[in-house]
Amino acid sequence: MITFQRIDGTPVYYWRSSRGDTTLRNWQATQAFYDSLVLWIRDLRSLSSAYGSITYLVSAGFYVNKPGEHGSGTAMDLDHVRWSGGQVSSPLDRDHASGTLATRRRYLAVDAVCRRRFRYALDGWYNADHADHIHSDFGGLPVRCVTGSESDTKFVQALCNNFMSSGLVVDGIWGPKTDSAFATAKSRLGTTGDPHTSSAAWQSFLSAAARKGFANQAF
Amino acid sequence: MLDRRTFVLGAAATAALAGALPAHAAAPTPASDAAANPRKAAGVFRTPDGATVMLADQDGRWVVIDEGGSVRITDGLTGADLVDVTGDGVTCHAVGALSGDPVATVWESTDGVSWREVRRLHGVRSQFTAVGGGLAFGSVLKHERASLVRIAARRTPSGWATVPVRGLEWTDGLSATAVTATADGWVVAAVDISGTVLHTSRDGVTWTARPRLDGVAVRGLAAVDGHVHWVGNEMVDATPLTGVLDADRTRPAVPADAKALGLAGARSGWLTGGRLITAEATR
Ligand SMILES: [Zn+2]
Repeated sequence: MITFQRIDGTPVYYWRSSRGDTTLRNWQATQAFYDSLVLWIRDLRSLSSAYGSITYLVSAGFYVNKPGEHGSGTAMDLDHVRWSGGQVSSPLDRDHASGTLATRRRYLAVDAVCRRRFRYALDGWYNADHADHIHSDFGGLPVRCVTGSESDTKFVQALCNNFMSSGLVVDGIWGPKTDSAFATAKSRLGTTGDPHTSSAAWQSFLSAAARKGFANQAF
Repeated sequence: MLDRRTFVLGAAATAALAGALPAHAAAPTPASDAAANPRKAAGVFRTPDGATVMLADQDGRWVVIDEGGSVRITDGLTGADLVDVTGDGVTCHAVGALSGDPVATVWESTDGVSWREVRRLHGVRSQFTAVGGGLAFGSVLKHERASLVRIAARRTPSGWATVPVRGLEWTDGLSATAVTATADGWVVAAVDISGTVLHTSRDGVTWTARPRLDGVAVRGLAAVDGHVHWVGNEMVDATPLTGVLDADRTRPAVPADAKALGLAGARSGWLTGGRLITAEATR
């Protein structure tokens, strides 16, 4: 396990006891997970470069003394992202359920970037326990779009609804309507290959979706 | 108001403290090899011969390690993904899941070294995550291994039987981290995004919420002299912390990087630098 206060130079704050707190914290994670966090924030910077640089992140925890990935130092709970241009994306404020489309699209863009680097991203659509943060861990597995995953399915359903007005029920069940909407999304985002079997295809789809999300553009 | 508890350190803890830990560096710093092995510990427990030991994964094998660093290799735990362990002075119980597609399982031992499986929940992806006072708590798991619904099993004269849990539905997305018997029932802890939720029960079936412990992940509970002690680490900075329910919190005299392993009676166990240290709660 290593201790870090910044991810690739960007400070990570803790707001659960005091919102707006900019005290540097001593977070812990495994070296391998930290290395993934560096790749993740570089993706995030690159895909959201129109917002300027990332001023800070806010997290609810990396290593946490509880069972599962957090207890192994291989998970992140993301609360908030702030850019130098003044933009924010705030899972902490339940941005996934915002009444503003642009806010939901930005949340989905951040969510998509998490999914580029972490096999399991659990977000506001997944369950009530993730309504106020995005959990990311890699669970030792390559990134894929898994139709048997409630998390992946709900993400795709929410994405299609918010960018293509697909009108899908966000129920986590991959049925024919979700399959058809996903095919349309893949085509409109210029994805080649199969995101269900190819990590590269899924990552390419997620990057394209994130660009649209940060730009607040339908696809 | 109770007095602040004073913690008396064991010899190994004193030795560990004497080798003063460096302050956390600003840049990532690699852990020592010693800290990386064992990487995972199921917890701390008291063996029938009175020793306080930890059950830990070392090079893919479950071993029992005491404070002096002596290691005994267990048998009967092949394929076990252990999460918690307890001992009542006569019998020891370990819980977790069979690895692979997880299946919640309870193991039992009379010496802490030789174990045998005594209960397995067939037909559902599940895991036990806390055991104590004759109750095992866990969850049915979703594909992503998040908790779908909380489950419990109770030790009876004829074995471990699943029991219903009522009053915990609003915490179905959480996994238990600690459970212990008290003078008038049980208390169970689970960690959410910002701290620990606690429930008590008189019958082991119907659970009532009690005030939460914010900012700390509780890893162990034990009733000692009529008070319920807890140990854990803060959510932020993972600072070691201990306390008594309905009383105050204390920074125990253990190294800043120590991870709570639980309580074995009145002794708290901590993993630091790959070693077990224990501290004693005294009145
Ligand atoms: Zn999490």
